[in-house]
Amino acid sequence: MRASFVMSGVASGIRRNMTMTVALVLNTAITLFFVGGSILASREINKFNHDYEGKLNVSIYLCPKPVQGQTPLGNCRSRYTDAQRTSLEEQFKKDPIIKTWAFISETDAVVRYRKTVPQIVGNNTTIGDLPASFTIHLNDIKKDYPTFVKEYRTQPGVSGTSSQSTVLKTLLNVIGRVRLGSFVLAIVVLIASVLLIANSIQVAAAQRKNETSIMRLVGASRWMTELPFMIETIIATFVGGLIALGLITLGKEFTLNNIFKVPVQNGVIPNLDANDILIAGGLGMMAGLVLAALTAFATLRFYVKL
Amino acid sequence: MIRLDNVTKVYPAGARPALDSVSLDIDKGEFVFLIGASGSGKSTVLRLLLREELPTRGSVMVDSRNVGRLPARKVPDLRRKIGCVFQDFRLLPKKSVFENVAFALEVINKSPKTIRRTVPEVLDLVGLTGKAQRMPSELSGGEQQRVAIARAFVNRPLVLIADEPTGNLDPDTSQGIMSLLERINRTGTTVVMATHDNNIVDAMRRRVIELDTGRIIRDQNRGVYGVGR
Ligand SMILES: Nc1ncnc2c1ncn2[C@@H]1O[C@H](COP(=O)(O)OP(=O)(O)OP(=O)(O)O)[C@@H](O)[C@H]1O
Ligand SMILES: [Mg+2]
Repeated sequence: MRASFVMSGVASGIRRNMTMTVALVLNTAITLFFVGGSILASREINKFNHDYEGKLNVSIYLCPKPVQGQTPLGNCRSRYTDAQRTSLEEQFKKDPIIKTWAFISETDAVVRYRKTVPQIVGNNTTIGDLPASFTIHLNDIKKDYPTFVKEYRTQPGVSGTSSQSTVLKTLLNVIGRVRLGSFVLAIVVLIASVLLIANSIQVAAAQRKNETSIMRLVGASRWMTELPFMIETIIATFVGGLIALGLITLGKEFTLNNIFKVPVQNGVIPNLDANDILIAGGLGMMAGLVLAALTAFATLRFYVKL
Repeated sequence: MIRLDNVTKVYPAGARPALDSVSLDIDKGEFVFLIGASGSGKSTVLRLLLREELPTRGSVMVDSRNVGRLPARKVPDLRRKIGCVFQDFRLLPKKSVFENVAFALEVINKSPKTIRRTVPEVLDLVGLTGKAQRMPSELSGGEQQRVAIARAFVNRPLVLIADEPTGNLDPDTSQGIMSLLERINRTGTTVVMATHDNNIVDAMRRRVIELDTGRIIRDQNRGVYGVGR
């Protein structure tokens, strides 16, 4: 059978069921907007996670020189020794949970501190006021931090350990839940959409029952009568997918370039580029097309006898 | 060409069998009338030949194919070798005359070139010259039946099956349809026609098979409709 022949059947089918086709297109557009949006949100969150988990460090503070009349910190009796520092570094080298580390001497600490505070405060701080430390990057901060604390807190020459920002971690958790929610929503919309497709095909097939039975009598095979329905569904899904892509682009512009304009410009919230949108839209489209084709096929095979 | 061997057909909803041990043999090129009262089983015979129905018992052979055993995927192939015409024409209402006839060629994969050449020829043959672009709704009943015959005949089927093709037509128009079927028969196509029309049967003097409540009660060469009916 020739393509032009099938396509003329498809064109007339679409024309005849215009309202249904429009409903299908809009429904698919909204569904794929949700699916694509949820994929996009997920990418955004991954970037955010990546940016911040990458920046989350832990620190080991080394013993400062004891101050007269104050109880020494932790198990510090005296200032840490170079031997203790070297011994720690030897352990870091062998420790699988540690990725990189940097030593910050008492001098470095003060230099850094002075950069972050007003000059008048900075000038009152002298070398020795701030302890030397290691800034350490763990492979997996969530998993390995407790082990890290247990391993290093009580080592000779160590006054304590700390991790940055539990606030940030809470934030990441919340965002993770939002992502899960958007996925659940997308799946619900997707199910509704599959049911709508199945339903539309049944109605369309019933409408054209007379016609298809004549076709069958003249010797059309089953797939010849089914193909137009499948192609119609796929075209509707494709057009819906394109609209969804437009909606996703608009949605992204609106949220990231309007609502979150400043934090995005500062790099606090990572931006999303055309590539991300195409990936999200493309994945949504692909999922949509596969699902639509499968639904159409299954409906025609099992619920409609053409 | 066509052979029914002890065919019994019981419809799921039917109390008595629609066909009861029917055997018949139709050769290539024959013209056969199936007659009988309403409900005697004429349409059932034709539906079995088209595999619209399966026989309950017995075998139905068309062109040395056992139609009752034919797997579903081979049914289209069978139907491409059988042309069929019905009382209610069964044209595709959204397609023009040309497209309706072309459809039978499209399903067997003929090239657009062949279709453009063959369809007008057949339309000339059935007397529809110049009406190719009309829609079925713009034709008289007789003309619609001619389109149906053109569609049934366009790919030169082995058998043409006609179920009361003149049932909705006036005597003059019926006459025209009959001479058309006769011309088709002269090309070597086997024609099997169910009818109630005694005038037609009497005028044609062809083989007559008469059914009565699912049984063959008469099979006569050069027969007439029957006395006193
Ligand atoms: N789909 C069906 N389901 C149940 N019974 C049927 C069905 N089709 C036909 N019958 C029965 O089978 C018998 C034969 O029907 P058939 O249509 O073959 O008769 P016919 O000779 O063509 O009649 P008519 O001249 O009125 O067209 C009838 O008793 C009819 O009621
Ligand atoms: Mg009948």
